[in-house]
Amino acid sequence: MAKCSSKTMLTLFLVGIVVLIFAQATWVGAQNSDQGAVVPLIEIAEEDRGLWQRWTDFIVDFQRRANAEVATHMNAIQRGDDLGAFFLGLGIAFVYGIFHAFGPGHGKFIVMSYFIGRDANIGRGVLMSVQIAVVHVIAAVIIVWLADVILRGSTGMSLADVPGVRAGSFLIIAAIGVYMLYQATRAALGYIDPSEALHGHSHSGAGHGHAHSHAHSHSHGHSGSTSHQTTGSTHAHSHATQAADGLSHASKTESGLIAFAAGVVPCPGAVLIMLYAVANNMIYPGFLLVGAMSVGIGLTICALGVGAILARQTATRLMNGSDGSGRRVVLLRHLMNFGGATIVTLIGLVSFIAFLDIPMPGQ
Amino acid sequence: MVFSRTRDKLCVRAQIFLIGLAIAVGFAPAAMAHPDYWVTVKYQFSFSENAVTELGLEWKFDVFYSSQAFNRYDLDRDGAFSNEEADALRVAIFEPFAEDDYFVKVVSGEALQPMTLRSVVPSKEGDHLVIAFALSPENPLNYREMPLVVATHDEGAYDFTLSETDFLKVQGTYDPSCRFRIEDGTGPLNGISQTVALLCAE
Repeated sequence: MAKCSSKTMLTLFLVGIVVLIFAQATWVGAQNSDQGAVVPLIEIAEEDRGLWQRWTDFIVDFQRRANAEVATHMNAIQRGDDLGAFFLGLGIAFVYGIFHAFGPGHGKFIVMSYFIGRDANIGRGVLMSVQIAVVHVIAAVIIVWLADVILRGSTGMSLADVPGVRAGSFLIIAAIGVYMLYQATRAALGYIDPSEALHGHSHSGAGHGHAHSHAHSHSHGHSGSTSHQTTGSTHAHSHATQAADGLSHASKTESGLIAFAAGVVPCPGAVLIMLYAVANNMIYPGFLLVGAMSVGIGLTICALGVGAILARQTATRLMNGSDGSGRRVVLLRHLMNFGGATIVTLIGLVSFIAFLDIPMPGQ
Repeated sequence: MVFSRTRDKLCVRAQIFLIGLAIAVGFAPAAMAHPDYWVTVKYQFSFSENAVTELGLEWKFDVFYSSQAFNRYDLDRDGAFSNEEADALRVAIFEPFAEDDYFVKVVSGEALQPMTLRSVVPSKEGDHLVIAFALSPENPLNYREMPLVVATHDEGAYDFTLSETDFLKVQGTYDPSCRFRIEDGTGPLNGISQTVALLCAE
């Protein structure tokens, strides 16, 4: 009961913020002009927009208003208005982050591709989004420090403008993609089981020193919802949760690197909020506002990452149910491993090439 | 038992929602806007003999962007830009936009028209940076022969939206049988909302 009511309160709070921001909406219209300019008659077309267009319009419109509201509340904080302004500002920054992350960027595509190409449990998805949010905040703080101390408040500057950061981020992503491809290839050639490619290490014992004999007892607590039927073929049971439960050091490092690469370039909007806070002597409120925004961004990435994890698990489970031999599952895993790895590699490489401004084929 | 079944149903729905969300958003066209800086726009059309001779624009930036511009370029903190300060701001902030034709797209008939920058005046309006500038076409654009459509749009970090007040002014007189219309763009402006079209009866 207590859980339900706190969830309801949270939902009402979030909905309230959205409504509050849109309550101030006024539609554009013909207005009187001043300074002798003629007043034109203006007609506003009623466009028949699709669902997707309306959704993207909503997201952008919401962010525009939320940005203005965060500024208003920061001014209220500066004037010493009550704590309500501060907490409302935090709430708005949080929801702003949620919606802001729906746009391109923030590593969503990388995270999703990564989890399509890797078995993982939901906890891994949540952990990675938390890591991205934390890296986002730290990166924003570092860049503001750089801007304040070294670069003296360059307008609109972000960590992406510091030489090497963006390139490094892309190269890390590409390198992880290549490593995923290497593992997927090994699995396809039979050196390791496709699901073990998901562990991020080989069980052969050759590559890694730790003892992980393949009899892992399955005694670790994976949830009962995971189908785990042994089929008789080599390791062809649905292994998603098990694989994810066996979080090896290597795969933790790998997903940590992905989170770092995705989060190290902070969003310029967050950087500007932080710069504004520093300029107006509101360092701690600014830090918390950027933190709230980053948590919102992390939540969206989390939802999408978990969606990708569930999509992979569901596909595997469905395939497992349709074919008792498990061969289709193995094939599907190979496909997803290669697909995810290829996309991660391409994102890194294409972004790096674009960064270097090398003409792409056909350009 | 009932609780467990309900929980399972909710769990399945949550899973479907998250998978759907991941597919819809994660793999959506990358063209989806992702702005970080927010700008409101006002237009002023200048007319002479059934043609548009100049297009004036006024951009009002969001508080956060403006704050950094003031910190960096209003060096004496007097709330206004001196000639030197304005020049520095123009060079650092505005001139790089030339690469993107100042994000302004002017379409006469079906063709994008090249525009030339005439003037740039930055100013401070409350907490906001305002940049007023004027563009002129190579030749006056006859709006009676072909529809004239204007838009300000960036695929990247800047979001341009019409100001809620006084977003459209005119200078000089124009054919009263023509009308301004705010609509979604078509042709070269496809995918851009809030275009300002000047349409005349055939």
